Amino acid sequence: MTNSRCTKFFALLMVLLMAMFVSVGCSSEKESSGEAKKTDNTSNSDNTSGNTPQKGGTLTIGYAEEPDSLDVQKTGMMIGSIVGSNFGGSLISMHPKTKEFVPNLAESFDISDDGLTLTFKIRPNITFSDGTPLTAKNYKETFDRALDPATGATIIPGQFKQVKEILAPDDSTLIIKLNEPSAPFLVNLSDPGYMQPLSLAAIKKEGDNYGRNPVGVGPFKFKEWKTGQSITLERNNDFKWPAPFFKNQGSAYPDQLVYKFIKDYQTMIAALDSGSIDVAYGIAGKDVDRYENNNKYQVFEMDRQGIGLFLEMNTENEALKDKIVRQAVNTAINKEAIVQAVLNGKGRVAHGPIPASFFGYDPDVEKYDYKYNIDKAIKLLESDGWSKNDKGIMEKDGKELSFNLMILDRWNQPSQMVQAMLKDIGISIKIQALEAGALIEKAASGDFDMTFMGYFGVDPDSLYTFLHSSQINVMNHSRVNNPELDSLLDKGRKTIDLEERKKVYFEAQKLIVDEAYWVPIYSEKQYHVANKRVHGITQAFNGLLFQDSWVSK
Amino acid sequence: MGQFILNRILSGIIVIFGISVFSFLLIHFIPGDPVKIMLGQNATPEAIKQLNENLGLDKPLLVQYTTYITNVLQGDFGTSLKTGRPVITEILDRFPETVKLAAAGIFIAIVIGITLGIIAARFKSSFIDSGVMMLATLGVSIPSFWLAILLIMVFSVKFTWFPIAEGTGLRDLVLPAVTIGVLASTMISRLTRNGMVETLSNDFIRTARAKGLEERIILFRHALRNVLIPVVTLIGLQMAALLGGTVIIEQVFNWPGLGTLAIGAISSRDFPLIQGTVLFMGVVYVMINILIDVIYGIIDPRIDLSAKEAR
Amino acid sequence: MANISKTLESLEMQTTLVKKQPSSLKLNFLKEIGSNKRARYSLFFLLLVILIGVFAPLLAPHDPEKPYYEALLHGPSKEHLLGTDSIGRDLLSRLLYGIRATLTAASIAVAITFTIGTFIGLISAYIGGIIDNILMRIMDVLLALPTIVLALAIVAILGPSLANAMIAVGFASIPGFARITRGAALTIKSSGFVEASRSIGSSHSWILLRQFLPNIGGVLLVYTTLFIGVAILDTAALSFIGLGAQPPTPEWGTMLAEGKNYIYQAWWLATFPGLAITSVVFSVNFLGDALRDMFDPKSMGR
Repeated sequence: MTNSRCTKFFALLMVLLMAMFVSVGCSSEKESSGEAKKTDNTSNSDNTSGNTPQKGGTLTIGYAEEPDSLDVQKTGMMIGSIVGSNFGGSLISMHPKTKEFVPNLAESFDISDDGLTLTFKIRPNITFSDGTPLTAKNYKETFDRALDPATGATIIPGQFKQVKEILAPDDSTLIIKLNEPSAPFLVNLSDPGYMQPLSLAAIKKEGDNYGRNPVGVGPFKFKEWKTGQSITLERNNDFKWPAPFFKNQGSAYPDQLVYKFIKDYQTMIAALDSGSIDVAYGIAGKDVDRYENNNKYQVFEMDRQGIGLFLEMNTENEALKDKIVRQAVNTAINKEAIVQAVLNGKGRVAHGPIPASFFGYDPDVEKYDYKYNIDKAIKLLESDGWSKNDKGIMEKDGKELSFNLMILDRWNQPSQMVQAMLKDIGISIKIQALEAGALIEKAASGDFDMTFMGYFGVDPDSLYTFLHSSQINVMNHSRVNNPELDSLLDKGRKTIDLEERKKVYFEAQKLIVDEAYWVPIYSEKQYHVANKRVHGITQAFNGLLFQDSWVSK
Repeated sequence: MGQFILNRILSGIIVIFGISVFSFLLIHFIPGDPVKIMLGQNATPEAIKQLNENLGLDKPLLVQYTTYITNVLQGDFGTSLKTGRPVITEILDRFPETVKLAAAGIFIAIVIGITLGIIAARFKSSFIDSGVMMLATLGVSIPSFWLAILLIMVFSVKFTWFPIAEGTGLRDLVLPAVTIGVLASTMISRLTRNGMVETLSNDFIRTARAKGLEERIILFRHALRNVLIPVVTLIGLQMAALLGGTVIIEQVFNWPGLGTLAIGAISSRDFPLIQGTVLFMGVVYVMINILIDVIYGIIDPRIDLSAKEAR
Repeated sequence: MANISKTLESLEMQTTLVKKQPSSLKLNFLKEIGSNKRARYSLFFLLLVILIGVFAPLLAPHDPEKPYYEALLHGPSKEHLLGTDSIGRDLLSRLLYGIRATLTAASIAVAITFTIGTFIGLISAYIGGIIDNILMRIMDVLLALPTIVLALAIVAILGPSLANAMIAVGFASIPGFARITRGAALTIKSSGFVEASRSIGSSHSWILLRQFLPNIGGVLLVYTTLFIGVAILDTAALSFIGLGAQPPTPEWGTMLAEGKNYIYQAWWLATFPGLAITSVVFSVNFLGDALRDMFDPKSMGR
């Protein structure tokens, strides 16, 4: 949850990839993989403190980035949606424990047997914070606005690709018709940030300024935005329509919810220590022990859903198109050391392109993955005709093995380790730190040798986005064009039978590891830390929810 | 006098014009196509062409500059690519924070600088004098960002007295302002000391001493007053420089001022914002300089203004 | 930081240096330095630093780029005298090698500033009139922007690297230097012996090179020395914000930036590189001050 444009892509990706298996029917399966667990120290304040929730006070949340806009349809950043979810809501919500979809702004919903027609009954008596009532027509207009190219919406157009039409036959009925059944569609719809209803009257009134003065139906309403510093939201006293799984079915407890934007990580830690923020997102493994051993804090731990760090190689690069070179690179990376140094051991080595928590993960990958072995890596290169020149760099036909490695600032430490490890086998690396937007742009257009990358997802279908030939110029940064892999990834998408599907992905993984397009490095644990003066934080699989939260004075 | 002010303003305008040309040309040198960045990776060629036309990027440079400067004169600095807000709004949001920081820093610098300067002059040629002057040399030798980190390590991490700036309140202001103050004080203390030493050797001071005037009165009534004018000028110049120059310190302390805005704009290649901040910083600097010269001329008529102008 | 030095230049130049008559370089320079305690000590220290930099491979206990994975963020110990960084590299070795990057950067930056700055300043003063006016207005424009912003803009155009940082710092300091040169040269011009030389048929270039340059040599030497300090600080600042030296090159500013991320775990990472920069810049400035006093005895004795 750190970097701007990247986060946007990954947010998009994550939601898109919550394919078939996290839907209503199969949700119980996911439970066992234990996506999110609280550490022992984490108290559920309701039983430890014995206090009853109190109204009042301010809940302050620290976040590394500041949104570009609070017009949730236009924001390109995940934080825009995160802040937006506090003054918004969604038709349906995903239960944080059972992962089932439950009605929220809709009082009920129905999916036709062919999966093509979704009918929502809008809950009566919901009003926007400016007083206008929420109707089905209003919801339809909200989506229409997002789909209008003139709006320049960022997320919804992509997520609504399968939508055929949206109807609002009466004030309380909203019908969405799809071209083809789509399980991820429900997941998308359940996002209270991006998918919230908007007051078109307010948009019209505010014009271009709407992004700085939004109006919504959520538990909080917008109060103030101090650019470069914070966004303050205040309680919406009329709010009484939270998702049914919350204990608090009325308006929120705190008077104010403040998001403070603290770009510098050390400053974020200091702010958490001094109590000037109550909740900090994305605390690094190296710092988390301090909080776990301190009873003033509660730590929320989650496994990253996806691979947190992997190295992509551009297979159109003169030298990297040679599989043996890629395999040598894989053999030269000591992933264990990186996990220890960068994550303080708080994460897992990634052996293949998908993490162990995914469906279709083949445990055998740990056996057939490349083992760190410098001598072997050097021998591989030598067998391929490379030999060290007087600078100590591998050379063949006058060509040196030297590459640019693109990184984001936060990957500085692992990049220097990779650089040192590859130097050991005679590969010279130049590190190029870029801003997220620039990195994505270069990666997508194939204008790079190697790049670090990370992704969020829940299903092996993520691989389609990253390695299918149809995704070249989009997310297939490595520019892999392998018909065998293509057909496997296509097959994985269509196969319904679980055993069958599993086999497809076992095969795909093996192929990907053998081709060594990437060096998968780790899946880190993610930590959010909160001061214990905040009670009743609900942990969802991808973040924290504050509807039941209150602060002690 | 009037002629001098007029001249000063005229040359200021020329400089500001130069800055506007510089800031305008700047973005034409920066690699990366602004339009592509605005529209994203999957933009259609038509859309790119359209936006190019809308922004006037397909026109000759001179036409582009004329349009740009006309807009600027009407207060329109363009729109930030990242936030979609007017550039001038972004700048004006941040500027007060930089002013606050610079003012607090200068205040601390004055207190430290003048005090040390007086002490050094009073104990001229003693170990105190050389100690103070040594400190002044140290002050210009220490990297601002290191001093900032040291202060953070001691006062935020070790003693937790002052938070690393999380907001812009008084408590947050202390450490960055002290950093600036310590660095800026060195020049003030030097100038105060040298000026006072020179005055103290003057005849009228000797006469005063001979008359048996108290040393304290000599120091503050006579000597200090005489050095105030150059010191005030220096302070003015430092203030002008700081308004655009707290960049690194703002960055270390995460201070939401013009400096962090400029660095952010450069790293995210937000072209209109880069242009706007550069132009704004330059104009502020020039205007304060003019102001200082004019005030200087008014309060100290002994200065030969025409000679100064001729340089 | 740099701005403050800009202020220093413009102000002190007017108050002290310009007043004095240029003849200083003719005195026995080396002897003078040898007899000045401050100059001697700082020169000695700087020479020592340079030697350490040159012989870093012999002196450094470890390879500065080699990570020891079993020794991540270890504090000062027998094995690693100043501790290790986040990927287990020996801090002392990196500091010693860092001298190279720092001094190279500073000398190249100063060379750029000196050459172009002196040239512009001399031309401006010598020719005068419209040329002088145009050149000085351009310098005004560049002076109006903080050095670091100017350098940032240049790095944004050229891309981040130590070489580009040197160039950026070098160019960004030109206006200040040109101003000083011009000011000093004007005093020579006003002394009237340009006319005298012209009247006996001396060429322009002869006058510039043989009369101007040696006579303002003292001023230039003082300011060049002081500029070395500024250049070290500014390149380190650029590296500190990630626009200078690139990893794994050991460079003090970059090392400080990395150290800043570990102020809770490893105080030594953010302490020693800063100490290194400060001590080198301090002795450069100390030398500069001593030189200033030598060429301008008035400022010392009063």
